[in-house]
Amino acid sequence: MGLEAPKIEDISPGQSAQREFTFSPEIVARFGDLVDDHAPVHFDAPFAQGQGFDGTIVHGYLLAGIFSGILGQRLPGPYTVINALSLKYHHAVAVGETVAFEAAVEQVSPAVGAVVLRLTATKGNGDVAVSGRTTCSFRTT
Amino acid sequence: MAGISEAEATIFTTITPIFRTVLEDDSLELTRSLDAHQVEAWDSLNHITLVVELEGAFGVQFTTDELAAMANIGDLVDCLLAKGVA
Repeated sequence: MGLEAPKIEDISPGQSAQREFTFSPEIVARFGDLVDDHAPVHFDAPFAQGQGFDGTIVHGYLLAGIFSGILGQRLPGPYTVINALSLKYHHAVAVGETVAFEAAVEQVSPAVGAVVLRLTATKGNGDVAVSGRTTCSFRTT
Repeated sequence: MAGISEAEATIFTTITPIFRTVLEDDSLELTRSLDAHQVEAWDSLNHITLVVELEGAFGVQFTTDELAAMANIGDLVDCLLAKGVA
């Protein structure tokens, strides 16, 4: 959407930023090492199938982490930090799957330099894997 | 709430659950004289969230001057009344 380090006056409800991300086995393994979460549902396909999944699934926190890049680098951008974040997980994401992430501006509160965004991560079949809301605020404008 | 107008009571009814949720205190009772110094959880980050939630709930926007002039809940209620929200 061409937003380069937007200031709060550049942001208005309805603006959005998107990113597609493929959760390769290598990425999932690196994340598991980073946060020391090697739970078998993420790495052991027979175990995951025994839990009712088609195969291994992506860590919920890894899914959430993709929003960080959108928020921090694009919308609302590098002048902001996260004040609040709430997420709901609706459908598991399989290792190897590609997911479309979107952050869309719902509300701007210039007096306190805050932006409220709706967060959505959608699987290739149209199912919403993750939905949520975050409030980010500008440290400087 | 005795001694206040119907419009003011309506505002208190709307803002009380917002303050209770943001400040994570289900027993918080709002009065006109209540201010941030009397509520430990009412810090600068929660202040931002309160403003965002209040603006969203009432469909208004506060100016920096309006916020700077608000010393307590009574000033907030008066500001909302002036904006014609109730």
